Amino acid sequence: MEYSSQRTAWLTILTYVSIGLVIASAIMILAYARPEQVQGNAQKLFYIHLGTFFGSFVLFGAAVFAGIQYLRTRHNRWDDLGLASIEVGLIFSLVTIVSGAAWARPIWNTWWTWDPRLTTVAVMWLTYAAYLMLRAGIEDPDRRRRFAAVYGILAFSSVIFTVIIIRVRPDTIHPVAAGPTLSETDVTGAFDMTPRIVQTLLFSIFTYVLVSIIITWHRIRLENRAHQVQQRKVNLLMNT
Amino acid sequence: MPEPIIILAVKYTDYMLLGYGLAAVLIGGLIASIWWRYQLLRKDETLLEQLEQEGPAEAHSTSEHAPPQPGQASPGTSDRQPTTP
Repeated sequence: MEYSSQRTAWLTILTYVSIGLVIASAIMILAYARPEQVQGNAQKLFYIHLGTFFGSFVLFGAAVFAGIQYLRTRHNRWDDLGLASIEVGLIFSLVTIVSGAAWARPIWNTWWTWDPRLTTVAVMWLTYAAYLMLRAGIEDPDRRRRFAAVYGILAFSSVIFTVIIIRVRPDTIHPVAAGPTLSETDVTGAFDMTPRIVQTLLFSIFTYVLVSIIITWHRIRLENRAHQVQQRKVNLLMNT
Repeated sequence: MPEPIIILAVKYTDYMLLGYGLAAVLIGGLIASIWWRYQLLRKDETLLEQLEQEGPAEAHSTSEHAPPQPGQASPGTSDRQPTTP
């Protein structure tokens, strides 16, 4: 598949824009958003924690869309989108987990605890990691793509659990950034959202969602190129 | 007007740096892996161009030394099996 120069130009422009946004986001986090009084600079992990979570949420959602489209059309490009989205989404959700652990150590006095939210996010991550392993284990290409499409759709239920768990379980200690919660226990680590914090947070979310999409776009291109090389190898073998 | 950067004087800076450092390693590693796989594909393409230019007979003898297998993709890239024409 050859790409139009216009599309490539867009990808290049957006790549540079996302680099600029990451730099601007870092400046906002370091210099614009004031350190929180109790949590100090540990609170600043919140921006990348939430930003990468939104990024992975969008990508796992894209994998659902890709799965549905593949089952409808059986076009391989949807399989490529599903694979790229999950691969990049897995790294972004890992960033969410490690940044959360780095925040939890000073605030909760532990790197990890089996809180309902942390448990569901671990299940979510393992579910998507299993996608890559199981996919690699199926040799028949059509079966593999069909399996991947269905798995990608069903796996999204783990994302939904992760999102809603802190709103329906009363025993979680994980802070809720926005919206209602039923938590009856002490939400250790909650803080007031000042306007600067909100502005920096929204900017960071936008930045990391865009970055996740651009990396996925590059990953899809890599996959397409790999298919081309593969096809050329086959053609060469057939001609010899 | 942004305030002067006073972050180093604030508590838990080490945890912030740890978190952002790990994030940079993970996302940077992902980008590096895509770039590395892309470079491998470019090498494959260069080799394929040479083999295609050599022609079928020579390509056959060359392919004994560097055989491109139908089911063998460059590491970490396509897992799609080519369809037999």
